Amino acid sequence: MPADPRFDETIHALTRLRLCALLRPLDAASFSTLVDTLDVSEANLSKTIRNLIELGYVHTSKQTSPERADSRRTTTVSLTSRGRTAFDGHIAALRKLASTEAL
Amino acid sequence: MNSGHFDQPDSAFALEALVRIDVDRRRLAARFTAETWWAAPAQALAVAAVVASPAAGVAVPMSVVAALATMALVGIDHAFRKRTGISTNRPAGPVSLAVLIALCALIVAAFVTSLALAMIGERSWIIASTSAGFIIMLVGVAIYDKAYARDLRRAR
Repeated sequence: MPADPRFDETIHALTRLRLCALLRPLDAASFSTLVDTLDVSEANLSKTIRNLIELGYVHTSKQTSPERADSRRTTTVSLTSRGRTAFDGHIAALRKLASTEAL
Repeated sequence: MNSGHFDQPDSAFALEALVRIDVDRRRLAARFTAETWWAAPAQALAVAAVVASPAAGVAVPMSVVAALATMALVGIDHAFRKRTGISTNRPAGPVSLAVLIALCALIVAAFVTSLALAMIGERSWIIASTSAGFIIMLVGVAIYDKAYARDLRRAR
């Protein structure tokens, strides 16, 4: 069912919006995959994720990784149901705005 | 949430944002399909083992073979997630869902054929249903991956 268009200023910033858009069709993605795909720095992405966690839009989990030589863990990121709802409304509003321009 | 101080974006921003999102999703889709070259044959072999399992003997031997093949499929899925960094348990849209349903139906049909052949004592013919299962899975996974990538780019 299409979402009602609804702007959400908290995910209006482009990096936040792009992150939500990547996560929306997935269950989760690894931090490194998100860095590569979004082509942003690790620091930038970390800050974006922290902000979205505070909003309750994103959830992270950490696992030990046999691929890492050190003791650091790999992080996976996923949208919460609240995040999906917010994103769906915001993207619907953007698409409506873009289609209005196209006309 | 809207607030009185939020300046809603203009159409230029909306267009730029949608273009950037499309580029990102294309990159993600490419990461997904980059694994098809090994994932499709690996899954096809595991499914072929399931389809061939009645040849080992109906009930217990068949169950053991099928269980081992299923474990192999789980391992392949795990390796795929590690390599792509993507975790998903569902099709990305209607096309990949339709492909998945068709693929499952054909594999079940191949397995039922093997089972019927085993029960009537024609085990030597199980190689035909196994070969069909392998080819169906090999081609089907490649088609599914492409459909998934397409749906991923078009997701909401």
